[in-house]
Amino acid sequence: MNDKSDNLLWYANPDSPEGINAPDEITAVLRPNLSVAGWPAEAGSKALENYRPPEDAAVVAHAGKAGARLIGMSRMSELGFGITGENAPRLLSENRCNVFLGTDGMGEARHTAALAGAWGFKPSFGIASTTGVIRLFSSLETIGIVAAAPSHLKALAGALCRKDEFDFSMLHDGLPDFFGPGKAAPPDEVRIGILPEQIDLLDESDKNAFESAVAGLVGKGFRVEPVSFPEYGNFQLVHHVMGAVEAFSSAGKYDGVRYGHRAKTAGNWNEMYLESRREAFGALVKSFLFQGAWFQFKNYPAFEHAARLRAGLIEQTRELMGRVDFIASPVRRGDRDASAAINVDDVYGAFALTIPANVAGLPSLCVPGLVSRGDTDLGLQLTGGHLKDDQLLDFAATHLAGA
Amino acid sequence: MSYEAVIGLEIHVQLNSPTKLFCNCANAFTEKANVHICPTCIWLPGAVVQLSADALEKAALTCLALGCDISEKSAFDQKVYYYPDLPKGFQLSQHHRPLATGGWVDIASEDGSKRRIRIHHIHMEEDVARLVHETEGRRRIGLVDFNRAGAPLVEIVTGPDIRNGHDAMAFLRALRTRIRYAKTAECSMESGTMRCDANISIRPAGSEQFFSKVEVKNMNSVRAVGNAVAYEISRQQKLIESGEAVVTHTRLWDPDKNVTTPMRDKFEGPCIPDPAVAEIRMDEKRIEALRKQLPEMPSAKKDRFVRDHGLGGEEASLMSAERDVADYFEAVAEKNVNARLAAQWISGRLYPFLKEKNREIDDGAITAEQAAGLLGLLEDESVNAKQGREILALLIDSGKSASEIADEKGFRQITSRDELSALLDAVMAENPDAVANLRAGKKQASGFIIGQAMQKSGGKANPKMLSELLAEKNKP
Ligand SMILES: [Zn+2]
Repeated sequence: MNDKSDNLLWYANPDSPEGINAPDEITAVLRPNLSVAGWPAEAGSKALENYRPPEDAAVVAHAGKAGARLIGMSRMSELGFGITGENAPRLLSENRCNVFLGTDGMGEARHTAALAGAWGFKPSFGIASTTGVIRLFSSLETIGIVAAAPSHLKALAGALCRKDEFDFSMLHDGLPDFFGPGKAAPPDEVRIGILPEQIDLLDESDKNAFESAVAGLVGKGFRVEPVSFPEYGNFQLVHHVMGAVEAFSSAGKYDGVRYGHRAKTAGNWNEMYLESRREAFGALVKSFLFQGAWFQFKNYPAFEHAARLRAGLIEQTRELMGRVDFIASPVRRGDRDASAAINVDDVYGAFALTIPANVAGLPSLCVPGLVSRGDTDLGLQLTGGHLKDDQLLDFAATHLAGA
Repeated sequence: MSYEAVIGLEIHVQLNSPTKLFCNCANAFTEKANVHICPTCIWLPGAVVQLSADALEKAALTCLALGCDISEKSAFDQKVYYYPDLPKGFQLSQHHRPLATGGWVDIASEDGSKRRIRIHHIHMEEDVARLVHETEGRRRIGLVDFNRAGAPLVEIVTGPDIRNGHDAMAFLRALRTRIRYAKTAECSMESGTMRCDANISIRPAGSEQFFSKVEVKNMNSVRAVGNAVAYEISRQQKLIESGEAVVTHTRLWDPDKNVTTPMRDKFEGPCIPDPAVAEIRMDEKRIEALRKQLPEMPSAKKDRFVRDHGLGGEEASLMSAERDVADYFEAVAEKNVNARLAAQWISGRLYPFLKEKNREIDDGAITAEQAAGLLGLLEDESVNAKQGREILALLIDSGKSASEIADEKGFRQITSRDELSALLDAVMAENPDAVANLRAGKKQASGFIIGQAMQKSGGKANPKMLSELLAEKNKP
């Protein structure tokens, strides 16, 4: 692919030149796990080498209709597990694009936003189509939108979160209305919860950075209060078990025959299949897939147990979101860089703050510029109630933009 | 030592749903390759699966038609194997938690006694692609046709209750009848909408121990299953008698040579649950609603035909074997005609005639109303059997009644006593010798006079009435 130093795109759209023509124009780069007809969609893996989808993903088609100009694709982590080695933050911070469209299975879009000083959004599970989205996690991963301007974020959220009859996982009732009148309540009616169990994960510097951000929120007149969530640790446990199983299941279908890397072996077909898979996956993804394989082959009850724990977490989250409007935390920890994670523990460590929204299927937003540890923007994460995506975006755009 | 065979069958039945199991592509046979395909059924990355509600319903109806218990919860697994007919590396199949368990089909075994073949379970699965082997110049190439990939199947797994080829064939026929009753599948082994593999092992008679089992595939008719089973039993028996061991493997039936030959095994991996495919839940209410859709099954129908319509056992079997024939028979029988006459004419004349014309009994070629009209004419002897057959041939797509056709063709018999009496008088006047013989008690004379009267009427006189009238006229 075109990999010149002045060209950070992994794939450049031959029909649409790079560069932001006008600030109002949505100039978007895609993560190559979103299908665009005729473009490569390798999802960062040799296992999908040379795969060119015949059709656009539904969300890509929607983005085009909403006026987004697609200039190409970024480098991505293998199969979208974390953001190891991704360059979308750099593309955004160097103003090569003003929007990045990808996926969010454990916080990837929010982390990209935090690293780029941009806005990042993961919608409620089930309101944006996943057809043509090469996902690793079937029940945890949604599309992810990152934008330099909150207005672009809201416009794309509205354009992309719409029904697709081919995606059976989509919800039908009580959907958010992104185009209705603004739903931002006055500050003194807004209740923001902080989970002490989540904040305990932060080191001193992160805590200080977050506390000054909280002081800022209180200063704006919001009601900020601690709300205990004793089972917080289960979010990561559930994600790890279910995520590994879902990942193994998703990656099961890449065999190197119709597309992707095919091993050169003198042996019979069976050896060719096994060898191709051995060669196709990188070390990080492979170790994660092995964990999933172990549960799927040897300990499926653990997966089912995780699914039950998850149902409990969803129930508790729903109850919690009846008491507060949003939950606030940093997006990332200052001492962990998700883009440099090299093993599964690194990945989970880096995404520890963003995973709960994926497990609970909640809308979650990264607001830039409010949580600073020295020069580092940790991103303010605001997570909203299920299907209250419109409230979350309206609130942040009204009260927190231009910070 | 005598041996007995222990046989279990695995039958794949393609449901007749309009779409495939997990996408909206047509579930239809097409000569042209790769027409009914989409990203889901050619398994492209990013494709999502959506279970067809119709296929689930038809699968459940099939289970209910076979007396199975539908599981409250069932789920799909990834059945992992690597082969070009399955480019995603796994087939979605319900391995660990099947749709239904239990159930049975009763058959008549070789000696006529009733034998119950248990069904172990029934599960849903997607079909795989079809491989076509061709040559391109001198190069052998394999082509893949995905039209069939993702077609909705149920796999019916029997208990080890079958003992011989006869049982296997009787089971398949009974199974087919029941499934066709449920109208959920065509079940044609010839066209591939029903496929059957047999697991065959033998053991010393009365023993509980088995020798290794052999799986036999590739039978494309019910008869082929019977032949393959019989062949395999004798093959295994000869092996054991000559002191050799039977090893577990798969064999293919060769219908030309009537033998089974060993086949190379393909790599088969494990079956692992697929978390991306939603679990199926069937509550009691839904199952009851489906049960209500199910028609009366053939054995119950047969008993009722004997009881309510006075049919003989054989007639009732014929009338209940296919649901469309049974429905037709009942529609005719309700129109106040002799039910046995109806059964005889439907099975002996009408059904074969429609088959010959490539028509279906329920497609309106000859309506039940028309058939009942014809049977009425036959019953009151307005027409004879030969004329009845001619009328039948003219009824098809005519929109006319049997009676109209009988009139047009001038078939109607003379049944007026006055007319017949005058006819006899004329014949008797012309044949005084025969009359004298008749009065002298010679039986043949009666036949001669009636024959003459029939001839004079152009074959339209009712012979039975003539005979009665003649006897009356010559009463001493
Ligand atoms: Zn399809």
